[in-house]
Amino acid sequence: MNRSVIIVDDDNFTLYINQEILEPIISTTWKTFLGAKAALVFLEAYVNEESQLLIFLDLNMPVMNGWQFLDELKTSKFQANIFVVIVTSSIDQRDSFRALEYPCVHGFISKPLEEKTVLALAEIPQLSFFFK
Amino acid sequence: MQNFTQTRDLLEQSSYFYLISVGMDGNYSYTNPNYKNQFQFLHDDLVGKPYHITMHPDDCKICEEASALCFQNPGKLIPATIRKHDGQGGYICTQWEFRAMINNRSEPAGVFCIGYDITELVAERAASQKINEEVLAHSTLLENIVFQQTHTVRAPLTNLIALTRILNKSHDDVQLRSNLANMILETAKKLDDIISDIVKNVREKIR
Repeated sequence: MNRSVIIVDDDNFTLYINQEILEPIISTTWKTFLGAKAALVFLEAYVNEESQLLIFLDLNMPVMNGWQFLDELKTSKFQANIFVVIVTSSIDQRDSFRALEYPCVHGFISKPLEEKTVLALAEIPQLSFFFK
Repeated sequence: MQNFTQTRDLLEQSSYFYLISVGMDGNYSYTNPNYKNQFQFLHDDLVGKPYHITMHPDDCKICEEASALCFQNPGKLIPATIRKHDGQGGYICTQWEFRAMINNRSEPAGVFCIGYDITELVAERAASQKINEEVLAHSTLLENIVFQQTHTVRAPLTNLIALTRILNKSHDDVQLRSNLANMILETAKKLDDIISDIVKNVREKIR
């Protein structure tokens, strides 16, 4: 099984920060996307029955926000191979409840991303393969 | 006609309800004292005067339509809301129920009407609607503030926290520390702009 991680955020500094946190912990290849549309194009080309993708997804983004991205994932043939962790500045519980209603969402993290929070994700069986 | 006589006797002295009847000639055939007093500024006695002299010209049509419905539906009460002169150049708002009067020979004899002043009710309803609209506007404003705090403000704020943590770990790398310091400065300026915009926008909305 091929695996990869992508980080999706509309802010370059956040991409840098998240990359700094994730790089030492992630066991697979990874990419960053400065927007959801480009990430979606990559996802459609990458994910299949032989490839799994872990996505660290921001919610509040222009053009296509995190919710719209999640709605697009619902139409994917390979939903079972897509795992999403929301990484957002939101501390609004309504956002976390709403996000966790999506079957592909396995975590909701309020920024700033921290190593200990990410390591807790490695305890989730479906996500453990993506971590060292 | 017996029913009207009983109702008339019951509410003759009412200081709350207006009681009137209008004949088939379109003139008042009866008014109770409360109605008479209310429109005394037009005539000492309205009986024999055309029914429409007390009302807003635009509401005559409502009155005509309600009266026509009365005769199409004998025995039924037909509602009508009619504006009436207040004697000071303005109008009061009145709520009525009309019923056809039929004489002993089963012929239309006029329209019997019971009404009351709803001016305060209408004003309170309008005030209440205005308050509801204001509450809704404030609620929307609060929702926007929550969104701005949690997304717009926290986004650079959390970056400041994270960048500072990275800075604290990068003891030896002078170039990295310089880059991080610039990123922190840029992010702090962005946060300052965001807060200024929020204060400006909220001020405009609550003015």
